This record gives sequence, structure tokens and C-alpha cells, in this order.
Amino acid sequence: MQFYDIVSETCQFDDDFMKRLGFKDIFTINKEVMAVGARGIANNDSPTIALGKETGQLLNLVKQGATAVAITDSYIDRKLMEAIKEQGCILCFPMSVITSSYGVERTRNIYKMSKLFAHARKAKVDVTFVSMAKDKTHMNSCMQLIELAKLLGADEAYARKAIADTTRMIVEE
Amino acid sequence: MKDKQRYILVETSGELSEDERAFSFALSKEIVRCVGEMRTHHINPKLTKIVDKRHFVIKSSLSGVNDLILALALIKRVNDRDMAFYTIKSSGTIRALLSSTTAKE
Repeated sequence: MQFYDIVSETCQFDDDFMKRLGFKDIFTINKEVMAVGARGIANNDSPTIALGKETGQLLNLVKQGATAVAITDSYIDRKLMEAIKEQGCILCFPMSVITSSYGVERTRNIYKMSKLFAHARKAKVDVTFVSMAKDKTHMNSCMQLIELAKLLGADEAYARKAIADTTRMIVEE
Repeated sequence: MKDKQRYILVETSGELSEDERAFSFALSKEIVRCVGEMRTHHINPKLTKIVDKRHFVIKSSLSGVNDLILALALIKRVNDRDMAFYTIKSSGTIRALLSSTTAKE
């Protein structure tokens, strides 16, 4: 199985490091995949990730045809979840939210993300786990990414499939 | 009966300190902080070998290896220094772990 990850545009790494982490490829935001927010989706933007926490804005981006959605505060309402499912959009879980927080804040983030994951699985939405690391410190190896996915309630097979196939689907779409 | 062990090769984001004992103690402290006292005894982590300035091998019980990988993903600071840990490979014997790594190089 070949694994893939998505990181922020500020994250610097070389190919050797990527291979040592066990990834076939690591995609960078605003290079291989465009991050869209308040400005909306332009015609030449493809593939796109709708990033943010404002539900109304994310709903608009999903309706405009965003390839994936990453909700930074892990809060989602029923309308947005239905829209994600109808549009065949992929829900991304940015693991840097967990790895970059500490103590009580981290436990809250794990709780909120695991609830969101359970909700997404129930709604049969495609889910993937990406690091979205802002720097090298918050990057993870594929083994670690799988364990973080399991922390949110995914089983091993599902986590592996998501990190291998679903992440690749975002970029290839 | 002897418990089955698992060895993990770990890469660090910064250079490891010279004092192996101090590093081992600080890392154990961080693992306890991450996974809790009740689960750390289940992992039974032990720093086995410092390979070079950026790599070391850590041993755990087979049943606790997943918790250890997770803890290493969550630890970002050791001895008041920012440091990230990347689990590169795991194996049942230290010889297999190190030989496959040196073979690749």
C-alpha cells in the first residue's frame, strides 16, 4: 500500500525524508492542491480544499464543487454534512490540530474530532486523515498517522485505506 | 513466560543529547505524560540503543507498540527542547531492524 499526506505550504522537507516517513508522495497546499476560503473557487482552481471553520462559508464552497473540506474547529452542522455527502466531497481530518496542542486543549480536540469522525462514518461520507503540518516538527510518519486515525475511532484497515487511497483521490480528481 | 518485544527505529527532528541516561529518563517522563501511568506499564518502553545523533531504537512490549507509536507522534518537547519523533520502522529483533536500515543506506 502506498501512503500519501498533505501539508501546509510553509512546511519544508526533502524527498529522502518523505521516503523515510513511508510516504509515496506528500502534497503541498497551494501547490498540488489549492486551499480556498473566503474568496471562493476560481475556474482554474483544481483540486481544491475548503479550509475554515465558518459553516456557511464552507457550505458555499462545497456547493461550488470543492474536492475536499477540512474543518479547523471540528464543528459541523447537518446541512453541511448532507452537502458534503451529496457533492461527493472528502472530509479531511487535519492531525496537526491534535499534535500541535497540549493538555486539556488536546483532549478537547481529540474528543471533538472523534465525534466528527463517528458522525461522518454514520453519514457515509468519505474521510481521510492528513497531517496539514505547518512545519517539519508536526509532520508524522505513516505509522504515526495510522495510529492517530485509530485514536479518533477508525479501525486499522479503514485508516490505511483512507491514507492510501482517499488522500490520493483528492489530488487526482 | 517471556513477553514478546517490538523494536522501533525512531528519527528525531533535532540532535540527541550526549547523556543517554538523561535522555532516556526525559523521554520516559514524556511517554507517561502522554499515555498515563496505567498504560505506560503496559507499553514497558526502554531506550535500547542510540544509533547516531538523530536515530535511536526503543523497545516495547508487542501489545503496547501501538500506544508507543501514538505517544511518539504526540511528544513535541523533551527536556525543554522542541523535538519531534518520527517512527521509521519496527521489527521483532534489533538485528533485523538495524540491518534493513543499513542495507537501504
